[in-house]
This record gives sequence, C-alpha cells and structure tokens, in this order.
Amino acid sequence: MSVNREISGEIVLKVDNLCKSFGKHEILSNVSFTVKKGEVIAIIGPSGCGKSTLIRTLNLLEAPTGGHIWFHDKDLTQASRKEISKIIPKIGMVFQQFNLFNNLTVRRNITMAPVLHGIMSKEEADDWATGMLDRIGLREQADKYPSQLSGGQKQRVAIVRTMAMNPEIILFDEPTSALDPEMVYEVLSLVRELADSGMTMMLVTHEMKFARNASSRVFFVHDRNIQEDGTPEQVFDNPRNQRLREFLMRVSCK
Amino acid sequence: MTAESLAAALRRLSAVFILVFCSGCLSGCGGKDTGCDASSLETIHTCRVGVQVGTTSDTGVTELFKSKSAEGMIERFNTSPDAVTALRQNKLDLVVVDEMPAKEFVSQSPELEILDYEFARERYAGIVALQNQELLQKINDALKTAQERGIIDKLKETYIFKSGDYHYIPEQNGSETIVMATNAQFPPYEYYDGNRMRGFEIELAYAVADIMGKKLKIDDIEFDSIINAVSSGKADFSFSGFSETEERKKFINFTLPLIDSGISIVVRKDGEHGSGLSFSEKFHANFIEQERWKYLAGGLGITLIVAFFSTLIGITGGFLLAVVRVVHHRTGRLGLLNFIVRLYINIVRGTPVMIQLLIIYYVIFASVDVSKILVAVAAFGLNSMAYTAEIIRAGINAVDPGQFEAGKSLGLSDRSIYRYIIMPQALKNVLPALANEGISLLKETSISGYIGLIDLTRGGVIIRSLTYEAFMPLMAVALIYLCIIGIMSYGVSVLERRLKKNER
Ligand SMILES: Nc1ncnc2c1ncn2[C@@H]1O[C@H](COP(=O)(O)OP(=O)(O)O)[C@@H](O)[C@H]1O
Ligand SMILES: [Mg+2]
Repeated sequence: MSVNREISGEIVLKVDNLCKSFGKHEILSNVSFTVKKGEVIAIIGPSGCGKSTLIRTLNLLEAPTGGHIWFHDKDLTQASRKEISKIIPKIGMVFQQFNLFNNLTVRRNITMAPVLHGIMSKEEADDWATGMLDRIGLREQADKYPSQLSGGQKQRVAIVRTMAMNPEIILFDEPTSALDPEMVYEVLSLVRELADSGMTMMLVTHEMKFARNASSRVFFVHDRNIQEDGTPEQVFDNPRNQRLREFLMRVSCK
Repeated sequence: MTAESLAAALRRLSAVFILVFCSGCLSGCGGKDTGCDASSLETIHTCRVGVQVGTTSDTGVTELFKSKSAEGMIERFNTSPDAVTALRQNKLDLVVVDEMPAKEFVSQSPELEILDYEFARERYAGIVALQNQELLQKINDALKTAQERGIIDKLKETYIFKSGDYHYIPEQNGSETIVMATNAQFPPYEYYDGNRMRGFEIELAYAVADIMGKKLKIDDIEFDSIINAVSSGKADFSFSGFSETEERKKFINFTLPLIDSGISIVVRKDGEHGSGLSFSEKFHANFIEQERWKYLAGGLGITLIVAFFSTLIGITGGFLLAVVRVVHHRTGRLGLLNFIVRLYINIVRGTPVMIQLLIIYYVIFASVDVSKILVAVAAFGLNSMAYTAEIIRAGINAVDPGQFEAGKSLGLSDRSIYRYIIMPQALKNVLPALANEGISLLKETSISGYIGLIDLTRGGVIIRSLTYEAFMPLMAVALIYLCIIGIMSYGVSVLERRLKKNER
C-alpha cells in the first residue's frame, strides 16, 4: 500500500533530453522527465544501467554531454559558476559509501557546510545538529569521528548532514547497499520519515519492498533511458516492459 | 606498546655497533706486501703512493708515475692527513707531501719517517684573480713591507723552524673587508688550533691585511675549490700553499713567493704498526685534548640548524608545488606553472644533491656574499621540496574521491574542500613519509663541508686532520648521527601509531 502524498503542481526539476557519455560509451540518451514538489521517485534497474550516472548528472557531479536540467526556472547546463554555487546546496545527495568527512567529528560533518554558506551561525548549527542527533539517537556520538561509527550510524549522519543545508530535493544513491543487513532498517526508517514529512526525493534502490511502499512514482532505467515511469502499482503489478518483467522476476527470486 | 619499537631500535643499534667494531679491528690489520722499492725516484713507482688531490704533489706524482705507466699505484685523498692515516694503516707505502706538513706528521707519529731525498722543490705564493691587477699590486707591496718589518722571517722561525715563539697580533682596524679562501688542513701553514685557524700563511695574511688597512675574513673551503672561489670573486685572494705552475697561471695570478719549500716522501719505519696508544689515550687525544669535542658539538649545532630549516622550506615549498600539480591534474588550469614545476622536480631528482649545493654556492650566489648556513639551507630546502612535493601529491591523490564529491554536493567551493577536507587528510596520510624525508635530509647535510660549513661530519674531519686517526672521530660522528636519527625514528613510529588510533 503506497502512501497518499500531498503533491503540488510546482515543478522542482525538469530534465530535457539529457545525454551522458563517458568517451565513446553512451550511458544516457535523451532522458526527459519532471519532478514535482513532494514526489518520492524510486529508480530501479539492473546494475550498470546508469542509475547512478543519472542522479549524479542532476547535481553536476558528472557533467552532462547534452540536454538541459532545469531547477525551477534556472537551466543548470547554462548557468554561471556563481548561479550554480547557489543552486547545488539546494540539491542534497546521499551516497552509497556515506562519504562522511573522515577528519571531522560527527557534529562538524553536519555543521560545516551550513556555517560556511552562512545559512546558520556556528551556535545555531551546533544546536540544530544536537537536536537532530538526539532525534535519531546519536547524541552520544556527536564528538566521535566517522571511523568510530557503524555503517548505519554513518549513513544516518550523512542524511542529517544533507538536511542541514535545507535542500529542496534529496538524491539518494543506493543508501543501504553498503550496509550489513541488520542496519538497513534503521536507515530506511529515517528515509521513510523524511519522505513522509513531504521532502522531494529521488532514490536509487534495490529494496523493492521499500520502493513500493515509500515511493509515489517509480522509474525503471534500462538501455540508456527510462523505460517505464509510473506509480508503484503500475510498475510492480502491471509491468508493460518485457525487460522490467524479467528484472522483477530476478529480484523477487533472490 | 612503545616498548616494541624501542626494542627494535636497540636491536638495530647493537647490530651497527658490532659491524662498526669489526671493521675497526680489520682496519688495523690490512696491508699486503707489494714489492715496493722506495730507494730512489727512479723506482718509487713500484710503491702505493698517496697524495692530496689537486696539490702540486698530485701533479708531480701523476706525471712521474704516468711516464712509468704506473698510474694505478696512485691514491688521491681529500686532505693529506687522510693520506697519512692510510699510510699508518698500511694501505699505502708512501705519502708525497710538502716538506713542512711532512715534518709535522712525522713529529706526531713516531712510526713514520721522511726519506732523505726530496721528491721536488717548490715555492709557495698567494693567488689573486687574473683581472684583479690592482689587488695583486697591493698584496705584493704589503708582502714587501712585511718582509722589511721582519714579520715573515719571525713567522718562519715560529712555524717552520720551530725555533721562535713570535705571533703576529692582528690589529684589524680597517673598515673594508677582504676575503681570503684557504683550506685549513695543512699544518704548519694553515690548520685548526682549538676553534681558531692558525699557521704561517694565516698570520701572514693578517699582517698583509693590516698593512693594506683591510679587515680580513677567512673562508675555510675544499682545496680544489679555492682557485674557483678566487677567480669567481667569492674570495679576493688565497694563501693556501699554492706553488706556481704554468697550468695554474692560466686561471689566476701569483703574488710574490711567500716561502720556499720542498716536497717530501713520508714512509713507515720498518716493522712499525699502529701508534700503540690505548683506547683511553686515543679517546683523550681525539676529544679531550684542546677541547676537540667542541668541533663535534659545534658541528652538531650547525647540522641540526641546517636540517631543521631546510626541512621547513622543503615541506612548505613542497606543499605549494603539490597544490599546483593537483590543481592542474583535476582542472587543467595552471598549465605553464605545472610544466615548470614538473621540470623543476625532474631536474632536482635527476642530479646529485652535492652538485646542486655546489651550483648554488659557486654559480647562483657567486658574486653575493651570503652566509654559508643560508646557502646550505637553501640548497637542501630546494632539494627536499621536490621530493616532498611528490610525497604530498601522492597523499592528496590517495584521499578517497568520495570526500571531494560529498563536499561538492554540499555546494562547497573547491578551495574550501581542499582546505578543510582533503589537505588535512592528505597531510595525515603522509606525515610518516615526510618525517622519513626529514631523516634522509639530515643525513644529506653531511656534505655541507664542501662549501666550507663546519657541520658534524666536517667537525669529525677536522679532528681527524689534527690527530691522524680515523677510527675515533669517524665512529663518534657515526654514533651521533645514529642517535639523532634513532630518536627521530622513534618519534615517527609513536606518531604513526597515534594517527592510526584516531582513524579507522
Ligand atoms: N567515471 C566513469 N568513467 C567511465 N565509465 C563510467 C564512469 N562511471 C560510470 N561508468 C560506466 O557507466 C555505466 C553506468 O554506471 P552506473 O551509473 O554506475 O550504473 P548503476 O548505478 O546503474 O549501477 C557503467 O557501465 C559504468 O562502467
Ligand atoms: Mg550505482
């Protein structure tokens, strides 16, 4: 049973004929879609099909080789350096390998960017971080270094770190794939909580049950494009694409 | 946990001790019968002969032995005391050296004697740069004045004939400085007595400078660098036992002769081996007598200063070079700068550090009067910079790219990411490697003597030249290096463990 979500008409992200190649190797070809405020989009597909590449081009970690990415009314592919530096903090990202800053404490991981950007003062940021860490039960770990945390704890801190920038959309790239099974749940609960609070998200995942329950929309990526785009019911219960059907068979057998 | 590394260090130390003492024993018992016949100049080419490189003895012996196709019998030493040491250890059959130093050596070592025929006779004169006719004239005038005042004869009595105790007392009230280069390893002409340079030519130089109304500054450098120093203007003149040769006249001018001298042949008396001094007597002679340990203490200070500041330059500079290379690699900017940096690194890594040191002293600072410590710090610092740059670059590249991406995704500028995230991690990664670079740099500074800096190594060399004894001063110097480096390595291993604990 998927959730009923408040999805307004406001378009946060509009992707138009996006292309991406690495050298001669074309990964994405003319991908187009829009993301509305409040949508939670799960991205599924066989590994190596370009899911990561897709969401990494959205915040310019990979430079697109063609097409346009509109964030509200700004085209990221045409914007100046200065405009980009204003927009990127509004697009959060959570990585499969957490990528917490190894040389900073948990608290500094969270407060560093908002303080540098002038979004919060040092004191405000510290208070905010303490409050958030308390909420996710990691207040005790505030002054520890990432190496002293478990994988699940690291990923939850990474999510909080992203939220500290008050983003309009968060991109997740397989946030639970690097975790031991017993830690998957704690991370997914936090993601779910975030989704329920109305955050706009795109989430690459192999957790099919979670995709089905938490998302409002599902993309199936294959052969350099989005082959199927629909509600979880449409995609999981009524797959039209032959490849999608094979893919779902394979994952359900696991 | 620190006990382990301490134990390892001790083990290493004791291994070195054993090695060192074994080699010390062996050095006393070497030698073989070569069928040497030193009865006349006609036959001495059958003997293993030692000379000081670049001296007229060297030239004369080379010429003679070449004519007999016996060049292989010649061994050239940096200083004549080194040659005498080798002679005493039976590694040579004879040493060809100027008359006065020969007498000095024999008086110090009862097992040595001078043969009753001379190798050659020659006259010593001062040298001045070819183009500096004016100074040549002034020095010659001053020499004449010194002769008239009887200074030269009285100095001869003191130093050459050992029959007087006259010493020239420098007045030194001139304001302008005049620089004399010499190689103070040549008693009784110029040598160290305590921490002061003394000798016939040294006191004569003071007299000449006073007569000219100049303040004398003496630079003690390698003998084979002196002509270079004078003709390049690093020094104004030199009194250093130079005899006139046609070859040398092409490069420099000779003053009036300072003294007449023969070249003697020194040999071991039959059946004599070693000096027979006991360990404690040797120890006393090398370190206690005339406070000779001060050469080591002072040298150690210089070595530490040079090593410390050049490491500092190396790390700061290396850091900047590494940043240029990494920025170019990641963004493609700074192309020209990156090219220059790469060229620099290749040149430094592709040439011996000793050549770099000599180039900086004799070429780059040729006409500038700078402190030698500064030159050494610059040379070793610039050298270390190239190695450090590569170490730091590797450290930066070893930082997980995910760290950079996380910073990017939070909208941080490249500069902030490097400053707050990448660099701290990179430096932490390479700290042990940097410390090791510091250790090898410390050892490399041991060539500072080549520009006349009295560092630890050179301090040992000076003692050796005073006592004609190799074992004690060399071992002392080695042990001091070993101790400092032992302490440093221990510090590094503690540091490494601390860093590991913090992360991972
Ligand atoms: N930086 C890169 N350079 C070259 N090829 C890449 C790079 N990143 C990804 N690829 C290739 O792009 C394809 C898609 O990769 P990716 O987006 O990571 O797939 P997914 O996340 O769906 O598993 C793969 O074939 C991968 O080898
Ligand atoms: Mg992926």
